[in-house]
Amino acid sequence: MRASRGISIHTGMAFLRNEFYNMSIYRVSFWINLFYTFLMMYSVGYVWRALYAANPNVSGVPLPQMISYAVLGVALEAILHPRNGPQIYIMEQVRKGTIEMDIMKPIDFQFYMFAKNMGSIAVRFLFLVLPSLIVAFFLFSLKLLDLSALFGFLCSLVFSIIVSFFLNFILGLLSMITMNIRNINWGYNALLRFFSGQMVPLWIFPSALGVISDFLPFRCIYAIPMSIYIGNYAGMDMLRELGVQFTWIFVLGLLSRLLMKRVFARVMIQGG
Amino acid sequence: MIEVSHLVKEFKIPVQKKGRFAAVRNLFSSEHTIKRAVDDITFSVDDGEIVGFIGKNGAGKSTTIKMLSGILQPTSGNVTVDGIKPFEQRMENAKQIGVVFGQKTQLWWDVPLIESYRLLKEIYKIEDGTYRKNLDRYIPMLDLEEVINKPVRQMSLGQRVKADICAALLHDPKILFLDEPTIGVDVVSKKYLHDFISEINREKGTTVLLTTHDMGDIEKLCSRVVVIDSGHLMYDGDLESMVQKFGVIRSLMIEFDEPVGDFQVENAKLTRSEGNRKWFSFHRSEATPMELIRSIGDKYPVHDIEIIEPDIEEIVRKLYESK
Repeated sequence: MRASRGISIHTGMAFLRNEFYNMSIYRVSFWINLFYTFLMMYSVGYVWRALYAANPNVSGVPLPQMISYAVLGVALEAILHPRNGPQIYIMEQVRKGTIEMDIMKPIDFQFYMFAKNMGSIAVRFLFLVLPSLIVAFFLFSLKLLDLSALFGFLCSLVFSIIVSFFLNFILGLLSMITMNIRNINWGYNALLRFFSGQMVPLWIFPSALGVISDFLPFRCIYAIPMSIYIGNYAGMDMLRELGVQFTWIFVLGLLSRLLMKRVFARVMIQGG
Repeated sequence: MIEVSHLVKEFKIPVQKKGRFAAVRNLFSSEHTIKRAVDDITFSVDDGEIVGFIGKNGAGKSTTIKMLSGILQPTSGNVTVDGIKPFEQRMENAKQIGVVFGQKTQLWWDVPLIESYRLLKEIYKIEDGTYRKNLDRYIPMLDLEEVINKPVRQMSLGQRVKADICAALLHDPKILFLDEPTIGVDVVSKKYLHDFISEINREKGTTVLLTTHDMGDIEKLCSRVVVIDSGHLMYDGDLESMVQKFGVIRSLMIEFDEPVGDFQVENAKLTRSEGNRKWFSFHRSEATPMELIRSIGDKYPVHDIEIIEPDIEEIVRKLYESK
């Protein structure tokens, strides 16, 4: 992902419009998604309310924070949409045999996939998540952030998007070799949901599982930005966690780059 | 413009097991056979030429085009496209070529055509002026006005191929690779494509390498043909010499004033008889139509004649079979 390729506002807008059309064409699926997102936010909020009513110390943080955390988890999942990310696009192109048309374009393939992914994230945010979030905001009277926490959260959110992209992209590269990654993708999403703290906060895990999740990149995608949002990581803790995300970006970025080279060489020598 | 010398491409093909538990054994097998898809091909294309690249299915045409576009690495030999090595300098090469595969589209399936073009403008970094000028010109030329706001999903095949050709030329490439662009395309759309390609070639000097199975494309567009078979170069030269060299059997139809019985003529063979008409075939080097007409006209009253040249399809079939 070389910045020197130059991403102008125009390029960004072109990708965004494209993704907008991709989504708007399947209108039924759009409304179902919107309804699903809202319903999920509503239900996680109520589940935590009910759990707190039974036992006020169930998760160790006050209820309003827990609800913010849970609603944000749903919002982030709807934005990142890891079930149907760039890996699925790459796999489908490979199966149709049109991946060549993508590789043939005078643009770095990884950067191209990233720009496409950013377009879809922006569209999902604007049309799916923002409306649901506004409703949830009033429904659960979510709290707004102070400035330093907001800045930390936004940084962490950007890092989260990049980590998520790299993981999805690596899966996409695998599909160039295996042709089908539906099962791998399913397993990946199951692990992601469990070890990322998206549904259940990692701090209520038994310590052994918590240690495992510490060594996996998944918590960079959900737990870190979400914990920063509710103020669980502040000050030095926040910086440390941002550092963890940054390290994973570096590692996964390097890995995906090397893998892309290998896979491309293989595809181009073997003819796919 | 395009230089190809001693180009070879080999593929490794896994050996499919037969018999019991074949599917399972295939999973663990690493046996391969080597297939030479392109075997020592040398040719070159000059600036501004339109060259027809023909051969049977699986002859190695698409493989060669893929090596020219930089998405396949040659096993050995050299390829340069306007001085650029396509595989080593894929990005630089991508900017100067346009590629259309008749069977595949580079356009985004669910997106209105004009939005696909907008995205290509960004990807190819096309200047505003060039983009607008090309679009304003190509859209009416290809009769795309009606589909410009339609997604590719809803287009007919002819419209889609025209839309793809327009897309491939938006960035003013020096070279255009067309891989079976007219496959399954109706005659009207085909005419648009022919006119469009020759116009662009004439006006912008775009070099075109065209693979096709439709000899109409070759006759309409190409001054030169390169024929390959099983990865080998079979013929490289102009269309007329190919006809001279391989289209050796010509036919003569003679219509007589009244029905006549079958008879023999020297150096020609009677192939068909129908009412007052008879057809003779003869070898280009053994007889001329005039000689035949004279010798037949001496014996029978001739009403009308027609000389039938072998069609290109016939010649190409002979060429494919001559190996």
